[in-house]
Amino acid sequence: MIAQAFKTASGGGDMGVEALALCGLSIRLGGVQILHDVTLNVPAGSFTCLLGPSGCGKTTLLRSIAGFAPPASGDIRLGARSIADLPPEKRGTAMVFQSYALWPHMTVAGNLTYPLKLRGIGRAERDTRAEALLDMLGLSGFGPRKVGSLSGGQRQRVALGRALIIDPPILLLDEPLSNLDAAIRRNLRGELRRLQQRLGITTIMVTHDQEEALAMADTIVLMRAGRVVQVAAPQDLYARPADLDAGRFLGVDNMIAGRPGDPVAAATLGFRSMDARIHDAAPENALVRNGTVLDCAYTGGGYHLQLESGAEVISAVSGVPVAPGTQVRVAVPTASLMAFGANQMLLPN
Amino acid sequence: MPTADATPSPLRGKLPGLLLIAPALLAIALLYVVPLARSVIFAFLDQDGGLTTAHLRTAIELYGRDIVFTVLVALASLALISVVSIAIAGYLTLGATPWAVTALRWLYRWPLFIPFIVAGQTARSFLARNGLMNSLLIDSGLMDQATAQSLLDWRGLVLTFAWKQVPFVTLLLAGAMASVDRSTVEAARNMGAGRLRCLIEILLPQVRGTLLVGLILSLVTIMSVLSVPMMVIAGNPTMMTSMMAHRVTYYGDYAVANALGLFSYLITAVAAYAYLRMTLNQHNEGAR
Repeated sequence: MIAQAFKTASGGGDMGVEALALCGLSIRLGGVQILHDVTLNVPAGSFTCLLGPSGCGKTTLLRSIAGFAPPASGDIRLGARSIADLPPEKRGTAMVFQSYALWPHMTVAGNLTYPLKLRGIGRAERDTRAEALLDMLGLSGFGPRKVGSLSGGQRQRVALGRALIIDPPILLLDEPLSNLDAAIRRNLRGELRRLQQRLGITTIMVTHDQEEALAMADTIVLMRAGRVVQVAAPQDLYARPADLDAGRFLGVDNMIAGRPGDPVAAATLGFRSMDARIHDAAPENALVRNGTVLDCAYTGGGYHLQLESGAEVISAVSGVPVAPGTQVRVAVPTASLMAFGANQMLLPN
Repeated sequence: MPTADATPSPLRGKLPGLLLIAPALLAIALLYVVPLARSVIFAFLDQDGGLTTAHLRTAIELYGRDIVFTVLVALASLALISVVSIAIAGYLTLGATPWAVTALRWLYRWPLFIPFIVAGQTARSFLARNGLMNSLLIDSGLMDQATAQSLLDWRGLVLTFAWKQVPFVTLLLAGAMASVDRSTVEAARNMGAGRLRCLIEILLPQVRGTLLVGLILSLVTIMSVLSVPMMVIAGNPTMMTSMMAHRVTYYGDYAVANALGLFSYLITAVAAYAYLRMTLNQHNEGAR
């Protein structure tokens, strides 16, 4: 339904969805190497998230696809054609900026129809399409308003509508939800994902929020210091991060040294605190450590414990409060363990 | 002793404040308001101190053509200033060739530091019939000797005013453009707008207030410069400043000079009114 409204609003898909390929892309800005030899294939119609900490080059990667960061070497291909040497206005990529970048001197309808005006589409048709799009975005009657009078969420919708009205082969989203309240963000997250699936448009989204990436993406590209660390589906990335740093970034908050007799042989064993529970008797098929409770904090559904086990501190959860100083036994099921080698890389299963 | 019963009189509370701003107020009143009011009043006083419009009528009769000439030259100069400074500021903001942008940034400000009288003198030797410009054009074979003509008329004025004021307006405009949210331009390019369209349809509308300020300040400057019309233009009609100086220097006729000055006020007042209205409109829109 929404997709249909969109197709009507954007005048039917004549450009179609296309796959994107980055081949050995390197980017230098102001003498600093921002991206190192990035190679990436984004299948047509997929939703890909570029995930990583601030300064990892994910926004630069997105901007280079749109044409705002000239590559030092490498190629960018959209479908069959190379777009690396084209100026931004010739690429046909549609980008939604973090700041929304709506044109403050135009009305809402003016913002939506300007891309159509640039394509030489007549006023009557522009107005019709803008109407349909505004209905679809839940902004009926907002056409004549100035963008300055809109709320953050409304601006976000207008920015998205403006990008989609040209029916682009690829949609680029630069942290589109980061300026919104948590509740609106969660709503829009679902909405955006459903819209993408219905339109089937190839989408690349930049985010530093792993929860957002896990919830929305088909594929997550984990980046660090200008390099791609891992490309995986959300479930795989979550369960099997490529190395220690990737694990830490994805919420693996316990990294302890392996000992002889552990169910999995590894230099370092990683697990999330929610998988570490207090047991009276040692269970089968589990990593077991003994420790002294340092701290016990109520977290709503249960209790979060800090345990001192030798020289290491382990985070664990418990259904009941445990007094600090108590000796306890903590166990982690083998299935929840991640084994890392001496070189910090994840060991194969 | 100040005690609890004291409800201080309103004046007493304001006195220190008034004292603090008194020097500034006094300076404005003595150096600005009084001479301005005096010159306006004297335009309407006859020799016996009675009210008269005779000076105004004389001014229109003798210098009507100069007033119209002044307005037209000012408008043409402002048009040229707008086009050139938008082009330069636009290139400084959107230019993609770093060395060209740096060179332009370095060069364009020079005329700011050259006095009007020197600009007039330079224009005279550059634009004359046997001036540098024509010599260069003839030597390079672009122009025939016979078709060489002097530009020392209204065109010379427009060119000189523009040459002197373009850097000033560009300075304001480039500053304003630099502070425009860069992503609004990128969004337009992303949607398919070339750089020229970005300049005219995205950047310019966001800085038009600044452009207007620059043009109004330039208008006031153009209306008050005496040296350039004196240097560049020989005959009639000429700028009002020239005629006012003439009236005062040769006839000691302050009354008619003041009447001419009144027209200058009116012209700049129209511009100021247009500017105030626009800023008020923007303010109201912002508040809505």
